[in-house]
Amino acid sequence: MSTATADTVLERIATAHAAAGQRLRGGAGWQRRRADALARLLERGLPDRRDENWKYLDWPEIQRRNLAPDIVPAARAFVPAGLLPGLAPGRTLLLADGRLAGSPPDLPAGVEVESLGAALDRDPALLARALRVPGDHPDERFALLAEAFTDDGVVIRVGDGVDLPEPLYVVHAGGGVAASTRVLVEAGRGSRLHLVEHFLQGDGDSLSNLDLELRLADDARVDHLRLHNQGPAAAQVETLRVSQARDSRYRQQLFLLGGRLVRSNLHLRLEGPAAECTLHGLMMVDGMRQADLYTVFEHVAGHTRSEELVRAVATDRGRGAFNGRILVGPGAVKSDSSQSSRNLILSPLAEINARPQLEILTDDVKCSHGTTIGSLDAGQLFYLLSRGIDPETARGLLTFAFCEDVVSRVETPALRRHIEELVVGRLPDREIIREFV
Amino acid sequence: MASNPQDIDAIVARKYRHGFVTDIESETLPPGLDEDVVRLISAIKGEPQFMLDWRLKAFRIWGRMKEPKWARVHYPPVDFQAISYYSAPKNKTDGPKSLDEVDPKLLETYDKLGIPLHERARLAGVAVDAVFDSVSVATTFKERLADAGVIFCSFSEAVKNHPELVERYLGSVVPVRDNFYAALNSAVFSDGSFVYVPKGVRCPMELSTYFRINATKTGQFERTLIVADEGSHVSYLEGCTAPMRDENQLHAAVVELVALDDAEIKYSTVQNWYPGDENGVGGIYNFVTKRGDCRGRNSKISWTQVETGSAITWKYPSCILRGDNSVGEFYSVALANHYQQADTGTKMIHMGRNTRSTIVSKGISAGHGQNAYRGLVKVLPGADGARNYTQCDSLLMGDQCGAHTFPYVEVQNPTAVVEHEATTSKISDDQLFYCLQRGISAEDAVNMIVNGFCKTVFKELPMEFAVEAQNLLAVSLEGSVG
Repeated sequence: MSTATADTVLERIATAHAAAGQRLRGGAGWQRRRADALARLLERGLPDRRDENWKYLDWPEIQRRNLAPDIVPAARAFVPAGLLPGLAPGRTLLLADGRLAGSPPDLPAGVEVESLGAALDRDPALLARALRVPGDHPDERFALLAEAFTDDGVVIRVGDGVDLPEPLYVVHAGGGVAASTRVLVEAGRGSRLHLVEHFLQGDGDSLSNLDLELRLADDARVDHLRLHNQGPAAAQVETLRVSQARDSRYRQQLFLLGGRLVRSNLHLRLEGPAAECTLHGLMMVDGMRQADLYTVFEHVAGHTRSEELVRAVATDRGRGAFNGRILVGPGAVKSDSSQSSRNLILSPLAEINARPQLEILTDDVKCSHGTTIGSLDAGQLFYLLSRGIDPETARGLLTFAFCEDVVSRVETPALRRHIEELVVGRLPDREIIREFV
Repeated sequence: MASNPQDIDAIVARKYRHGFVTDIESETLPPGLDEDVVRLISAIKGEPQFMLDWRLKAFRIWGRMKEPKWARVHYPPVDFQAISYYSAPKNKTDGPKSLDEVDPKLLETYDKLGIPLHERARLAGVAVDAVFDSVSVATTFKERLADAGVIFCSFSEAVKNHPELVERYLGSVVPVRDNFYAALNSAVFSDGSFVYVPKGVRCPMELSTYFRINATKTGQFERTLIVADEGSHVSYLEGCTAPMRDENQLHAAVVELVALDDAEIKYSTVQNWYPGDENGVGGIYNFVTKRGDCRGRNSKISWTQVETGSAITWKYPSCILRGDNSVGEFYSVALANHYQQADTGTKMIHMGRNTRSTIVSKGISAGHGQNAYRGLVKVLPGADGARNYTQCDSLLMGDQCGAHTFPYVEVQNPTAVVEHEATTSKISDDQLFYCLQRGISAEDAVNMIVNGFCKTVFKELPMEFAVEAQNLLAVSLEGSVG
């Protein structure tokens, strides 16, 4: 299995597709869409090391795994370990192996939650319009894989003017099978949504593939917290496509803290004037783990703003990669964009790769990016040592402080404490740090 | 600097000043490239067997390579069979011993370019190895350099007189299989410059070469090799101009620098090849491979470039920081006006301990120009204490142009400190307003601001180049502002 080539990976996908074939939902129209997607995927293949945007990924680790989704007839209902404390049961959706388990919870008026499978049965044409067909670019190959196996997932619709300040939790759990899931979120005009995604997949030789589409209508506000805390052998590739209309605000807080390998693609389009988006991310890679974040912020309309702040800590043999592109189109006058990537590399075998990119096609803009890669600051370390703190503790404290800059921005107290605890748990001298924080 | 509107109009209307063709009989091979052409070039130049073998190896490798497409530049496909691969002024057989023997028409050309060899060379203390098309025809100050033990000659002479040095260092920095254009250059390069500075010698003067592309449809494939032996120091200046012509011309040069223990090489370029007219017709394709190898401890290689010409510029002067404590520097100003495209930057490969590198890149885009910075900073596991600072700023003038930044930062050592900063903006309205209300015209103000923007790079240039570069920038920009 470890010597699987790109061809055998594709063959397995084709076989799985043939086996699942007629069982997948959505009628003839969707059969065609899936078959088209599969044909395009087989023709073009998965991306590989030669694709610039995928070059830092551990491809042997991906090819070793089973990428062909197992389409199980029904979701297993179970309570995954590691759930957040104090979750409101009425606000939690469980996606087990990519399928919505149990019936959707009771939510305030104006918020609709439906399993994607049920939506496919009920109104396939509506969903066909709502879910975009992925393009041919190598960046979208995994989205194409998800399209080829479209069968279940979740659809969340927030009506115009509906305010949902309490978080809505989506828990991704499972493991052992290659899950493929699609999530569609539509935030209506002037609505407000706080969405928390929690990834708790267990170990296994498979890879879970997530495709998420999020659309913000005029004036919508979405706070999106994404916490990856998979088991140490889990692997995930996810493709997020976010589109923003006029005056909408999107904020994502991303914590890549788990899994053997997580690749996150985020393509964000600021389509309406004065739309704003923010990404605050933290990656921690220890052991043999790898986290690879690829973001594209596309300023299409004028007066748009984006801010990106990503921090990474690499220890042991951990490998972190950040590839951030900012595209400012010809019409995006007066747009303002800032990007900052700061990286700590703390052991001789760790590795950090960063590619902050700007592509700007008009003149009246303000864009900047900054990247630093290095170890802890010697001056700060000396200050703590001179105050009588031993070197291990001092290093741990400074590393924690480095991460805290992102963690402290989480507003929900229970969530913040939970993430803090996870961060401390990943530090080398966790016992000592706990006494301080 | 222009001080009144009439002057500015004159400058705006000024056509490419160095556009003319000198009518000299050339010995030119018919267009086309195959193994026989490679053998013929080698035979014409009377090269030893090792050079022919090397060229043939490169040609075979090139035949298996694909033209790279990753750069952010667009141009119609190049027909490599439509290019003539060798062109030499006819009277080269014996080679002139002094300026008197040089064809007067050549001297006239240099006059038009403002490089009176004898005068300027003496006044500026510069030895000029002028490359006219592909064969070097005049070399000055040879004796003074010879006294110091410095070898500064055309590549053909180096192959004849110092084959052991050429064999030892040629291709040791840019191997033949390095990339498509380097392989092509290795197979067909006609001439270029060779510099060897012996142990402990500080080169007594700035070395300089002027390149010109002359005969129509002749791709120029220059090869430059500079070796600085232990404890030596050399500063090399390269400046380019080319006659105006409507057809695109390919230029694929290779420059290799080798710095041994405690040696220092400073390589400065002002590139002003024909950029095509304001509609993007014509212009030079400049696909260059430049690389320096800091092979010894405490060695230093510094690249400074001012790129204002060429329809397409595609070059990445790089440093391999192999020796402990070695230093690499890259200072660049790249200007893309009208329909020019520039994809330029550097690579700093940190291999030795305590290696340091600095990158300062200033990109200016105007009109429909597209300017991209593409760079790699790589710190390998053994490079303890490596340090890099990168700054790349872009200035945009006009809403049709583009500025792009594609840096790669790859760090595999925890003791490294790497910083990268980039900004993109237009000329600040506040700065412009400040100048205007002090009575400075808009054009002068823009010139001043742009020169200030590039100052950190210009101050790295040798004096005479710095002045030329400032003027060039001003002239290249006029017409795009306002």
